[in-house]
Amino acid sequence: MGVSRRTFLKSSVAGAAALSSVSKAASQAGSTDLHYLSIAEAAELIRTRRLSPLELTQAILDRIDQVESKVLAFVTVARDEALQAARTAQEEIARGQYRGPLHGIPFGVKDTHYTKGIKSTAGSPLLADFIPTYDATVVARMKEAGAILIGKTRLPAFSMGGNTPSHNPWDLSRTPGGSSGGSAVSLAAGELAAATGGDTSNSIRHPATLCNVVGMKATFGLVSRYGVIPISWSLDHIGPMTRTVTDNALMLNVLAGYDPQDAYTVDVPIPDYTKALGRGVRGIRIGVPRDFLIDEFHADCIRGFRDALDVYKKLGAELVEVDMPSTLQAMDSGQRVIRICEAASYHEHHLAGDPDRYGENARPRSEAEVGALVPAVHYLRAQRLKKVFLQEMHQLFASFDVFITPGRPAPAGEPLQFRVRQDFAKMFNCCGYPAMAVPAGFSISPVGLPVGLQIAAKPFEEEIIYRVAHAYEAETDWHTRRPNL
Amino acid sequence: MHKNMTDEEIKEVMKQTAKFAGLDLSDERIEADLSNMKRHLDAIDVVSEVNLKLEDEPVPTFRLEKKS
Repeated sequence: MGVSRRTFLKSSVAGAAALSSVSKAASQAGSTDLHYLSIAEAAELIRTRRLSPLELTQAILDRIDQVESKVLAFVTVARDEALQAARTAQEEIARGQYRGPLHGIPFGVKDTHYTKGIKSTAGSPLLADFIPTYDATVVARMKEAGAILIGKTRLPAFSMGGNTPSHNPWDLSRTPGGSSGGSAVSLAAGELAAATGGDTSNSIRHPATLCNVVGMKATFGLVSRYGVIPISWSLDHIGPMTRTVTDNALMLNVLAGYDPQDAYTVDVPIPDYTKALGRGVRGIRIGVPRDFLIDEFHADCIRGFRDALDVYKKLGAELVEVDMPSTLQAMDSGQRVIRICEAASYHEHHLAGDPDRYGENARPRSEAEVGALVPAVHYLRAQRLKKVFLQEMHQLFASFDVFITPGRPAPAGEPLQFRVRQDFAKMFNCCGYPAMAVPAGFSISPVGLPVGLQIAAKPFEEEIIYRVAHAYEAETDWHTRRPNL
Repeated sequence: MHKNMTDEEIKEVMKQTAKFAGLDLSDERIEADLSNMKRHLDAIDVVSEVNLKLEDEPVPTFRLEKKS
């Protein structure tokens, strides 16, 4: 291999033009820097031996050196381990043992994920020195696919809260959202092309929207949570975060699947999610919330949403205005009850030890203490409500193929004039349906903050989400925009 | 449920309930947790307003089966 950067950049552009249909959309990104190559672009170059995993990993580490002090995406960068893994991948590929599209691709994981031999702090001083002896299943699957672990991304302590202690690459003075904010930041800043997040209350989709990246909260039970420090066992989801829809599908191909170590995972056949891409949306029925449900959202978020719906109409989709389940508001409250009670149970051990190690004014400590005071009857009432809510969601989703909403009520850090009625986020943690955030433009006032879409579907129908998201992405260039760092 | 209670009354209930939960919460911790507790009590109230049928069983750990 050993191409010069100049030669490589020329060949990468030429190579990208010849990519398969799967990677064609990604090639439109116009990437001219190694660190902003999509997974699909880099995979094609690695497969055809025009780029080595070591070159790509070194480029990513160089980029981290360049911008990390500005964005603070990582808790830990495992530089030596990454370079060693890249050399191994390079040797395997040289021997003809190419494993697939993630072979040699650098990736990061949220610091809640156990990583063998590498600190896993969950962003809390309580676990500052915790070094797991095994990998979380999703980490193991990425490694088995040949991906190169670069590091652990930032989050608010124990994933509790929407403000990650990182900086939004689109405006360094603003929050990237959370709790999987470090992952979203690393993608937007070109420090990674692949990352994972966890989503209990919108924690993949929220930062993905605020940072202009793609984040999938897959169906509950599709992706193993084994080895991931939880908030709430019955609400937590793990999923892929990327810069493009194609990359996200490539990553879910690896992450999805039954895991005997996670009793909640479901043993279902896993399709090749990339096969859904490029099929268009003609005849697809899109459910949308009625106007009054979003009229208190930020004007730029509404505009981005409406513009996206216009694109879908132009592409032949049918829009259907729908009413929300009658128990939706109550379920949002029920989600809070379930979340804190389960968190209290997980944290019982830590509270009984030395709770001062949580640090001063630590939200996880307060959540766990308060959760421990909630009588079981209230927790069970919230779980009973979930059953009713699930029935309503099944009925609702019978009338359309996908449900699309604005990604967030407001861009990063923007206050809302009114308390919004519904943000359409936690509902998908409660029912377990898949939901994905995709870029959908930028705000006008203030200028240049990402806005997004959320696309949801019935359980285990991630394929149609990818199909619908990809159709929009192919018509727009939001995913190709880069922050000025 | 808690709307007619004063902060002092809520704090007293928290302190006593903590004992049942095996937690030794100091007055300082009770004070720190009070606003959080009130938010959660609000959430409990909202959930309590829903009329559930006797047949509505809890779904603490749901598994969604694929239809096809």
